[in-house]
Amino acid sequence: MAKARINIPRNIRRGDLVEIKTLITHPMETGFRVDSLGVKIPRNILTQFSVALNDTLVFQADLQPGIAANPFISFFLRAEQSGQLTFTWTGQHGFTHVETRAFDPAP
Amino acid sequence: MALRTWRPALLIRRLSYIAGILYLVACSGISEPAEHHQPVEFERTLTEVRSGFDYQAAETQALQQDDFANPGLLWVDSGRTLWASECTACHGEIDAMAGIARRYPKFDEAAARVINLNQRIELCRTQQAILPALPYEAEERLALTVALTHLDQGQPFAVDITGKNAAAFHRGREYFYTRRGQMNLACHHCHEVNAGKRLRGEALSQGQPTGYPTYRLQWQTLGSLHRRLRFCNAALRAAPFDFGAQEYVDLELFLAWRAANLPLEAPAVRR
Amino acid sequence: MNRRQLLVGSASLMILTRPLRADTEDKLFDSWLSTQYANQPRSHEGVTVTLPALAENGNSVALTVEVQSPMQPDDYIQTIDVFAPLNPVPHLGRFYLNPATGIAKVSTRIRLGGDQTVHAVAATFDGRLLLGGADIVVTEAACLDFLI
Repeated sequence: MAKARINIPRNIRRGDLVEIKTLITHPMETGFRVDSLGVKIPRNILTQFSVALNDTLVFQADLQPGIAANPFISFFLRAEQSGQLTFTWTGQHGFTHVETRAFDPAP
Repeated sequence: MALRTWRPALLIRRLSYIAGILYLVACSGISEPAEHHQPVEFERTLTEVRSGFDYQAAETQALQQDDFANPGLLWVDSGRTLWASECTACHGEIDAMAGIARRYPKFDEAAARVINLNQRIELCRTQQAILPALPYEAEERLALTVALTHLDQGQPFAVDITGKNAAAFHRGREYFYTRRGQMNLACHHCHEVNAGKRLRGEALSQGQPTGYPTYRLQWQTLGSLHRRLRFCNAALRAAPFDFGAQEYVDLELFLAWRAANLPLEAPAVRR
Repeated sequence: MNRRQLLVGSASLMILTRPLRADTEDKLFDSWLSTQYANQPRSHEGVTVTLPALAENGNSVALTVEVQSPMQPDDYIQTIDVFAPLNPVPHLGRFYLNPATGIAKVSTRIRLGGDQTVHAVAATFDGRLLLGGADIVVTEAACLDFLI
């Protein structure tokens, strides 16, 4: 069961440049590690992270094994519209995790 | 010597010698139970206690202190969620459990031995909440352990090394100063004699337990002190004990005492 | 040896070996760039890659890429690629931006398999490429660890 953290600053006003930080549990197994018996541990990574405000895509990241485990990703958003932010992480083996947060800049 | 030649004086002298020896034995207290001893003041061999935090690079320190991005906090969040679903019925809110973690390891009546917080949580899970048993290093056990330990951040350990904890403390202290492995080194050699010096490009810390469970960059996940101790053993080419082994719990008790007034800082971030 | 001596020593070593290492790295980066972006015009302005000079452990290194751009509908950055030539999988990721992003600045944490130059390639909406990079010394490389 994945656990995610999302930080959206409080008291944002229209026109602000808002930094949104995200963090999620995921081993981001590269596929290059070997276990104690010398057997390669298969690759298991997050492949995509996308953020939509209402229904519009505002940010996306395509991820590769070179992204560290328990990925931290931060990006910016110009506070113009209000609505709901939907954060979606997808990965190998059918992994998917969705979080939603309200986005409500003061006028 | 024929029995007929025994003299009463010789017999009395022999009996008094025996009585004297018995008297000395009685005075030394060998026959008394351990709990009646006065606690002995143990010499603290470290002149200054320093957390493992001090031996990390600036970026690693910054990551630990980042209230958002410290990866260990993901497990604290998990632990709090698990608590809310599994533990509130008996224990109430998790925040009311402040002050509990810093007292471990300690003697537990139900287990009839000294155990640590991770093991106490498992006892609760299996015997009170009647949940399926999990291995020592399972995500849920680590999450609950770090969630509780995080409540005591900034406070030092408050372990008791007397009474029913005394025997475990002695064994732990003995372990710390005993050479082991192909390299024939004791914990003391790296973490006291040579603490601060470099080994294979890294500075040797004092081996303080205040950051555990910790997010180790090498593991890329949260791990327990036992995992770290197993690595230490393997590094000396000594056979590691199992997770949850009594040897490690005893050592944990000694290390918690040795940490003196160092504040707890779980979840720490270490290389 | 203290950290400063190690840093200076490593940096000196990096500078001395740069011609040899850089050759391989540059070739890897150039060939990837040509495959991804063909003959699009390139410039080396406006891209700032922020990395620590020395990483104690390559498993989690903080990276920030910032590109100067108005981020308006008529002039904005569309993608930012991050490339570490000496990693087993050199392309680390691609970030997609649009005018609503406001500022072309992303941060993440990456894995590094050794000392190298980490490159960032920003593509504008009209196909221009802006390149930047930063050197880093990695004490303990990722990608080659053991499980205990």
